[in-house]
Amino acid sequence: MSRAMGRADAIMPSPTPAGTAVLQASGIRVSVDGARLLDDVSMIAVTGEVHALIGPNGAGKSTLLAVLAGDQATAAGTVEVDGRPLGDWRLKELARRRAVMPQQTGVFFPFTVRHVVEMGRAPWLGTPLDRDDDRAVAEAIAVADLVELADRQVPSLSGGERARSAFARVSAQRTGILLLDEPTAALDIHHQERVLSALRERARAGDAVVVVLHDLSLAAAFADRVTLLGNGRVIATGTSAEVLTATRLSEVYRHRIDVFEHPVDGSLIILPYRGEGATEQAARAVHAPRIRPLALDESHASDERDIR
Amino acid sequence: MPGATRMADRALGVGETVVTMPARARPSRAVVLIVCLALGIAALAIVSAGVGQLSISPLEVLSSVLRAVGIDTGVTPAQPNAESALWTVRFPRVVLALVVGAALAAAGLLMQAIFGNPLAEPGVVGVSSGAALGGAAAIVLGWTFLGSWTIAACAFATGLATTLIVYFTSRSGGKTEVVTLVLTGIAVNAVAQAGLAMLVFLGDTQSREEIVFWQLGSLNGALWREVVVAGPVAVAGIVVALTICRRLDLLSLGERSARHLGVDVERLRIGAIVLVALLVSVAVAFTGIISFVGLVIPHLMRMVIGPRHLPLLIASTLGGAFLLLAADLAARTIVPYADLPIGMLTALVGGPFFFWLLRRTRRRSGGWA
Repeated sequence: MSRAMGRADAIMPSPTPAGTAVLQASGIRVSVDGARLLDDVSMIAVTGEVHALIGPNGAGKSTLLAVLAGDQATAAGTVEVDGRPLGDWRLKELARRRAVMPQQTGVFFPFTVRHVVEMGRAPWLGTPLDRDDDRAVAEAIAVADLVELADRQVPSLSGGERARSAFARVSAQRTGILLLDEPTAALDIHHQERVLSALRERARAGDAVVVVLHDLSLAAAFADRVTLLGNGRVIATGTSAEVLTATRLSEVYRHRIDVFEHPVDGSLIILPYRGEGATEQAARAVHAPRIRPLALDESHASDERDIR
Repeated sequence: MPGATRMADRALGVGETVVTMPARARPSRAVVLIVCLALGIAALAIVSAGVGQLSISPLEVLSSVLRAVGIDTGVTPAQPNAESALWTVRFPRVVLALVVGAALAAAGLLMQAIFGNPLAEPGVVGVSSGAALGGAAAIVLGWTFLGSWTIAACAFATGLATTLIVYFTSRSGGKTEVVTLVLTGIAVNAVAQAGLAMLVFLGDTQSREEIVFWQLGSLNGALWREVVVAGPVAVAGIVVALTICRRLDLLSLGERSARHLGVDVERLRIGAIVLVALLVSVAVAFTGIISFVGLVIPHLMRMVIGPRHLPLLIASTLGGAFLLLAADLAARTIVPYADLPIGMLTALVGGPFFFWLLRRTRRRSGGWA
């Protein structure tokens, strides 16, 4: 009964009010070969929000995303989509509810970009929404800035272009929940901004977006909510201003990290401290008058004069 | 979904998103190719049936076929034995060539799809040898427990086992590296050949000869009762394969992405493996080992019409049928009064082609990955 209900919902996604928790993981534990990759991790993806997962290498970001996507078996904990345990969903229904962009964006055969983006429409085949296919594909190609490359074969593209075609495929799927594993890792600045702006637009339109990011400034700029992972545990979760403090980041990343406010747009700039190098001196000479450090912690207080 | 529209609007900086799809060239190209192949097969079949020690004109062949379906053209064969030569010797051979060529090409394409590697082929990775082992065992040990289906059933059993072994030992991370694939093929072929050698050793003179010719592959002596077994199985296998083409497209994004798009990857893989084993064993059981058809044909077709599996499978099936028919005609006519082993001919062409593909793959990927 509940399954039939869920399927109907999945075919005809009714707009979910902003602020609804649509994807919920609690008490997740993942062990592989005796190593504990995730330990008692909980998180919520809410409609209307971009939720960034950040943390150093090996913190468990991608593992957590794989758990949310249903790729990774868990030793403990639950994942629920729309209040239903992930395991109760049929793969087809789930594909209409959430899309996943993997880190690996290669394609085995010489499919064109357009073919690949069209594959994103596969879950809607045979539903009333498949009449939107052409439009969804064309829009996704435009959003990912692939119009010129639409008829090129994906294996012949650069890493960044491949990543954009994977992003376009995921956009074309038009699901209410989006999970993305480092979608911007291979992208130049223009396309990083473009992809994350598109994701923020999706969130504003009522979708829930979970995205693994390495670039902390990007996370600060685009995420409504940030979860910082370290050693398989949640270190902090909240707004970027709450989570992204110099003290906490320096501790988790084991490197001094400073947080500034952008002099023009007021966004957070998060940078590693690079000591007394000449390049750093030069940069300071240019930017120092307009940049003031935020939330500088005590252990770095002695360096404060250097920054100023 | 308004959100996505707005997203595009913002990205493009326009108020109204009107993005029309450019006319696609691929499907029409595929249709042209498929129609050409179908016509080519019909023409070649008629010519091929007429060629031999007893020469029969294409018109006579055609009228003989039409007469069989109840249309009298008024043309009667000049030779008194022509009718019986056509219906007892030539036609079964032509039909078996078509069936086996289609089955092998379809099997090759399916293997490439599930291995995520365009170099996978039943002969190369040892599935054909594996199937041959079961069939040869049935011949040498004189098994007849399933009547005329016995050899095919035994070939299927060992062919399926071989496919499973190759598949699960050669893959990592959802695809098979070229090196792993080729080395696995060497190992599997070695073991299967050892088994065949053992059977040759055990067998009597007649079954030895049968096995040796079988390893070379030949359509010589094709019979209707073989066609009656091979035909329906191959057709059924190809029809089922047509239904999984969309999912095979998605599989080329990688297993995880296919699953995220709603594909039950485990079921798809097992289904495709069973189909491969079925198609290969039905081909091997009646004609022996004919390698490289499953490599050359899907590859050529992919170059012409692109990698989408539905048109590709149809084109490959027809292309395989055409190739084997042509190869059989060559095998019968290159040397007068001799029937060359067809497997030898396909390997003669397919071997260098495989080598060229290997070199090209290495150059493109900058290594043996």
